[in-house]
Amino acid sequence: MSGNHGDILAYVPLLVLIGVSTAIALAMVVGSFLLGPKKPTAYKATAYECGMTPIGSARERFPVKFYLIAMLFIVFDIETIFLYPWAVTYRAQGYDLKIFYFAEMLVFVAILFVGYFYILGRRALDWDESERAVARDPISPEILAPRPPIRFGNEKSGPVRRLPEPAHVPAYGAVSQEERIAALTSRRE
Amino acid sequence: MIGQLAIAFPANLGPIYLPALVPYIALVIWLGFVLTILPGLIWIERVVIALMQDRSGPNRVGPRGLLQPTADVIKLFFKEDVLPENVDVRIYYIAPVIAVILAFAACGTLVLDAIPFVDAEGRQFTVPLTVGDVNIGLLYILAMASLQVYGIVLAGWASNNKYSLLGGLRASAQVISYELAMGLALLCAILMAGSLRLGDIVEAQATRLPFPGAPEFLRGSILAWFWLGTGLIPVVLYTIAMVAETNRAPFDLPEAESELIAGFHTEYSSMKFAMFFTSEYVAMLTVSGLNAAVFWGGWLPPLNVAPFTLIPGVLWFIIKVMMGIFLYTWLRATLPRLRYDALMALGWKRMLPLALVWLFVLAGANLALERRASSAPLPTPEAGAIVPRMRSTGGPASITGQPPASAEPGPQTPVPGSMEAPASNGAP
Repeated sequence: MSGNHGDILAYVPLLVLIGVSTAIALAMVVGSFLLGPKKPTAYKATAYECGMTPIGSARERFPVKFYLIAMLFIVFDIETIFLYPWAVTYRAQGYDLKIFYFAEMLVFVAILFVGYFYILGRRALDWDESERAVARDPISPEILAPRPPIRFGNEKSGPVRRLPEPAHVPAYGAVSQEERIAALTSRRE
Repeated sequence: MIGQLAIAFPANLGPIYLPALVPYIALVIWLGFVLTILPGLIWIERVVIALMQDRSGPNRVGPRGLLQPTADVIKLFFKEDVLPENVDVRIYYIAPVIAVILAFAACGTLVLDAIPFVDAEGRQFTVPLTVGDVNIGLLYILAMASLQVYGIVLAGWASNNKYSLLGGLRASAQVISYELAMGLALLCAILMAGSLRLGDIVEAQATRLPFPGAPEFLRGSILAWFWLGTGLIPVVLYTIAMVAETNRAPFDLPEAESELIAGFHTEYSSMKFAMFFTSEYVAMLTVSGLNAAVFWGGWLPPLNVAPFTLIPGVLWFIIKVMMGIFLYTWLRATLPRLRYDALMALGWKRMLPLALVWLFVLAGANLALERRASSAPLPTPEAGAIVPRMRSTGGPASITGQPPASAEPGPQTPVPGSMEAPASNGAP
């Protein structure tokens, strides 16, 4: 392994590559900006929501699960980074030192696995909230009637079943959507 | 030995030290290959999927539809560059630029081939045909690949569109989740090669015997490469993770058209839209190249015998990369998209612990085999235990003990320490 300082020169072509790729990227953006026509209209400029008028802004709150995943990622990524120099130097060690290397990293990863099982137990890695609801309340209906494993649209309900609509809800098409939604949601409360 | 050292170039051509030019040659070859193959990749994907679905695929523009992607690119350049209202204009324009820069920069340390040189004293050495022959080559690719998520997240955020935002968030969570398993799967190969330099990892596979006592012609053959050498599990984990890392089917949740329209690039039009595709395809080439280099022997021929060794190494490398691309297409045509919670569970609950445990299985196996190989002469504890017995070449050897001939670095066997030969010689 040439750990000499001449290695720093090996990065120069990489910088050239980054420069060339920057040029390619800018050429793409500028090229399409210059070549394409410019005929903006009000409808073209609205945010795309399947042809409907956009409702509200997209700068809204989003599930905290994404933050949780990012935090857990940092923990495990740092662990991976610790493993890299270990793995690179492991082979070259003598037998005695190798035992030390092995045991030392085993202890480190064992401690890490304690944390891993903790977050597993706290169900931090369960993306589906219904699983977490089961964990909170063991006698919840989800336990009594177990959720079928993979089906669409059953994230919050238990088993998939279609309830008959109550009598006071008007039939589909008889009234406007808003009235129907109002009737359906008033039933829920 | 690599087996295809039939000719060697002189190191010094007059005042020019040729190995110093190799990175730039690699840059031209690799960028030329990528920019030429990019429309081809889209064509390959469409044709292969059409064949798998028993339909024709593109067949109007040019012979067998070959010019269809080129026509698409030209069309996209001349499409209107729509700027939606309420977008964050600066970030909206920067995001595709980031995606493309990082995609092209990531492939910088892939090693295409090893070029044999002979210096003035008649010593042979090889120089890896790569843009950046740096000792953190693999880390560099991983870093660039994980930075690519910035392009996606920024695009999703700047678009001011709910689908885009959700797509960007999904992409970030997915990429960071699978990066862990990807890094750990690569660590298994690094453990056996003892280097992060991709050239060294390939050389380690070139000098390896598939199993102790194997016939000599199998040295460096397809059976000796790390896909089998690390016990199959790392290559499977890496292959799954590389598909997830590039947001391709069946892990294409960030752009799941049935729920998120087009995901993070819903609001992008004309060439900016195509830039995300460009970055995605270049990233596919890069991770396939990493797969080829780390697990599938890089530029090595599958067997060290005549018909295979006649094909230049760079072609072998490209063949292996294209097989990775074919695998991507095959997966896309075959597998349905995962649900998001299943995606997260696969990454965090299955692949991460399995990769971590397997790393220690490999390390333990290495330890056990070494003990059996060198059980008799125990070194004195004072002298031997403290100083790491780093071999001076740092060159690779098989996990099952060191190959008898090449462990001793000398001018006759330059391959394991070949990259150090010009350094010790004193480069001008």
